[in-house]
Amino acid sequence: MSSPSIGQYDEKTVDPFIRVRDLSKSFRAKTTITHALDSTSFDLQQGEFLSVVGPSGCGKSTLLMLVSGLTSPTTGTVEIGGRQVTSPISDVGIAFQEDLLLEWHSTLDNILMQGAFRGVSKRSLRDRATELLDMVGLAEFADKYPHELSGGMRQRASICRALVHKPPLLLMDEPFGALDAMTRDQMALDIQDLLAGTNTTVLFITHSIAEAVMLSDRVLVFGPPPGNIVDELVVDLPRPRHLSVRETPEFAAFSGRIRSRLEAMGVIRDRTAWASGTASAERN
Amino acid sequence: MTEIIKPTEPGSTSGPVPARRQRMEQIKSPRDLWLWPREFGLYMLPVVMLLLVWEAATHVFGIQRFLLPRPGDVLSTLWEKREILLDESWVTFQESLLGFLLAVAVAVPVAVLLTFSKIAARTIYPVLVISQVIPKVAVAPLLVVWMGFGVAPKILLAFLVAFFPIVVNTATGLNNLEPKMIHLARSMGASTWQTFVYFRLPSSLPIFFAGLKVGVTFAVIGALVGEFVGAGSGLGHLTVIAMGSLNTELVFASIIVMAAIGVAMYVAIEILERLLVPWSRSRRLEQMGG
Repeated sequence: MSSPSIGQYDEKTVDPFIRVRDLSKSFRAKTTITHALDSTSFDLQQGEFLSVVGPSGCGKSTLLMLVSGLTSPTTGTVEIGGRQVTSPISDVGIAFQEDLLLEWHSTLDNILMQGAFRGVSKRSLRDRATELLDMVGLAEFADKYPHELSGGMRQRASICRALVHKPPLLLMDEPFGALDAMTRDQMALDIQDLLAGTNTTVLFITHSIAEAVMLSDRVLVFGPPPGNIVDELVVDLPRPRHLSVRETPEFAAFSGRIRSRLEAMGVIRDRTAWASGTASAERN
Repeated sequence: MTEIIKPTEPGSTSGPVPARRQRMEQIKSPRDLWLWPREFGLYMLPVVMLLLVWEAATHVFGIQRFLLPRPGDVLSTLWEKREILLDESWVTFQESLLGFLLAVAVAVPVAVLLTFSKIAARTIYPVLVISQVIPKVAVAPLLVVWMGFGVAPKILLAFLVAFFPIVVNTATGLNNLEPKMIHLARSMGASTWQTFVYFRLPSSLPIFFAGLKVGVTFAVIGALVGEFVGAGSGLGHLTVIAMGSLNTELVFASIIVMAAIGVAMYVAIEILERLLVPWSRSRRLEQMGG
């Protein structure tokens, strides 16, 4: 499998939903300039689930902020639906690593909050909100307050909030980052359920190779900072994917390729190369 | 004093977070807005102990009454002089309350200004800090000279003392919002104003109330300082007169009433907080590991 170059990919796509070109972002402190993202270009088709995997500080989160228009790029452009992003977009749902639920609203009201500034009445969103809560097993917690929920439940509510207004674009920045392994597995399945049958385009930022392969149609691998795309792979595993897909050779091939790419970049260091793959876990 | 979590019947705590839910139910119950009899007993225990030791000491060491009156005598003075004590406390209470309300009314807009304007923050903060470090006791006689023996200088002193903690806490509270929360609000299409009203303001309430609690007790002290310096009425005035005639029982009695006013105003704020910001208390209990 040879990795397709970005240029190759461009020729194949016509009218992408999101077009990112030469995007870079530098942060200026008093005396130093940090290059968070370095001249990145890619496309995102309507309804596609794209993951970005990479080490800490590689500009993954910056990329998400730039796509949402919440920060402006140093150079380059983001176009969504043919229009350049110059200010924060609101036709979007965002889920961060922190659930960011408002403590003073019930779970349901937190989700309905999404409509508050869009001129959408609570009533029209209520059915959809209840349906989403039901799908992630939170139906009976609709009237509970966030501090009555566990971390995983809170994050599920936060993802429901990001989807309740049926946004064409869903941005997620390590939404499972603060959760335990089993809850993460459940969340991955929940996300897949929530998106099944919709045409939602997803940009998913993660540290987890397995999650990226499990959920995505396509994965972008970012190298160490300043971040840039070092590899791109199309994950054509059949859907719906069950957790058992992770034990298949195909899955192992995808995650193995991402892992070796990150190792080659020096992101993951394996000092016992003779037992590559398992040694780093056994060493400790 | 941490809340004691009542064990509930087995099987009644379904769900993944029984401890938290249990605590929440307890907080929501209306009787929790008031002190439980059992807890009240715990609060009063040291007070009763102190009174007993005090009473015993005056007998054992034969301390003269004008130096240290007996608790029994103080309590009977409280009862005998109840009318004058009530009248004077009403004055002190009004001065404290007006000064406190004035402090809130001025502090909140100033805190909003501090949050939104860097220029305002730079120019106002030094003035605030200087106004705080100037001892109010030293300023009090001046205020009486300028404004007379009426209630005005007392209200002003209560205001001056209460203002600082309220403005600092309110400003801290308003800056308490996570940057990502602002991102979220913007992605929802909220304007700056809507972000302020729906996100920033509510999230500032726990710290705002912490400021109110400090401020309200300070306000009482401020009013009393004004009365000590020069007044025709109020508990401070009564204390000065009682001291002049070595009526130590009455001095102690009015001190007790002063404390009672402060406690009452503090409790009123606390009840208001539990009604308006129920999530603040539960979070605090969590941090305490309760």
